[in-house]
Amino acid sequence: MDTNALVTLDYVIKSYLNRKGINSSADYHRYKQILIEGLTDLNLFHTTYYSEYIGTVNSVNQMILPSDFVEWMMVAVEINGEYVPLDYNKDLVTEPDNNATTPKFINHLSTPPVMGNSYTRLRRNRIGTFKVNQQARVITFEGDFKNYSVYVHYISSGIPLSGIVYVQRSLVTVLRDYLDWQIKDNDDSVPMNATLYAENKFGRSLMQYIDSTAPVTVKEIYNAFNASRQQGIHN
Amino acid sequence: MKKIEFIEIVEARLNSDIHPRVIERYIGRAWNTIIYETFKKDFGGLDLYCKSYDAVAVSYDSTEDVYYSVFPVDTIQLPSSGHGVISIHSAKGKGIEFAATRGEMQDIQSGLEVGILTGPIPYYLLNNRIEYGNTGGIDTISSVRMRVIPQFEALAMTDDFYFPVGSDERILELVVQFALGKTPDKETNDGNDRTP
Repeated sequence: MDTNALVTLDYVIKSYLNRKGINSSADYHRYKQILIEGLTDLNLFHTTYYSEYIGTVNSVNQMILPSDFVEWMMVAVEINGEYVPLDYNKDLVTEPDNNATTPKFINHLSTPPVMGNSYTRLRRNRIGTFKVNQQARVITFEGDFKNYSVYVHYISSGIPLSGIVYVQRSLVTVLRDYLDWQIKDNDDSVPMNATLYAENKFGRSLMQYIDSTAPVTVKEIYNAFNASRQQGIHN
Repeated sequence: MKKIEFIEIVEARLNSDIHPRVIERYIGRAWNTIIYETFKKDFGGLDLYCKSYDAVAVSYDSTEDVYYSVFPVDTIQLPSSGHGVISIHSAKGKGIEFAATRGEMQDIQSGLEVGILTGPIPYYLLNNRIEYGNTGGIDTISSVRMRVIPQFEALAMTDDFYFPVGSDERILELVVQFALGKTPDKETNDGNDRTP
């Protein structure tokens, strides 16, 4: 039987309700909000969720950041069917009212480079620069990028508010255990040992997930280090 | 058992001249008690007592900017989210498409991410009607299918009526208690208190 590699947050809640034998939707939205916060915490503190966004630069040379944007990895502009990375410019004024209509540098985009010409690759830092303003939630560009398509590779909170949120199948157990722990942790009538057990269970699930997904874990480095010491190899 | 049959059984048991409509009311009150006593620990086992109502209209209240439905029938009230509205679905299909919540919780949740993300549409009972959270495309839905537990009085006389097994004696006991002290009905319909 085929099961889905990606599932929705709603799937996680239904999986939890099914395991608990809860046949009522009464606390559905409460559980979902707990899961949203849990997934955000997991992405920020334990696992890193990368996302991509393609937007268009507006008439004042800025682009609104997606709501789940945490930190940028790469910002590129589409030129002749290729995304050309831009350079970060810490000196760029990013106030929302700065429309940056007068580039300080020569604007090479007025004569689009020819495909196959290495001009853009070699001198891409001359095409334009960008700076991210987290408070105003905008990327400001230096250079005339109006109406250009911009590709942003970024660290996401994991919860884009538009569209459906998908999570990896391997995270379902982690999230379900997180939900169980949080429900018990916030219920004063649950004995502390039951809460601690749920917390430990979540911790084990999380470690199992990190072990299975990280290319090289800290634990593996530690084991290799110890193994080499046992063989008498000097560090 | 048909509803009318049950009323007649109780009428024979009471052996008095109480009007069947009054007995119906007593049974209705007793039935509410029985349902609560039987299921208060788990309101999940009420499927048998539910009735499904198709094509319940969804209307828009522009004054309050809220979508709502009126009750398709008088329902018994349960002390849980949804208050006796067991589930709501689109015209066809299953699954959790609408999820019960409470009016106050909806106020809180609408300010959180869960109020923005796509998902089941929240419903809650407020202003003597079923209101919906303004998310999940409720503005495109004109009617819904609703499963509710109708009050005993709201059933037709020929409708099948179920009560939890083992509660037979209890329901009669409750009805008799309600009937105790009931003054006899007037035999002459002349508006005069003095005639019998």
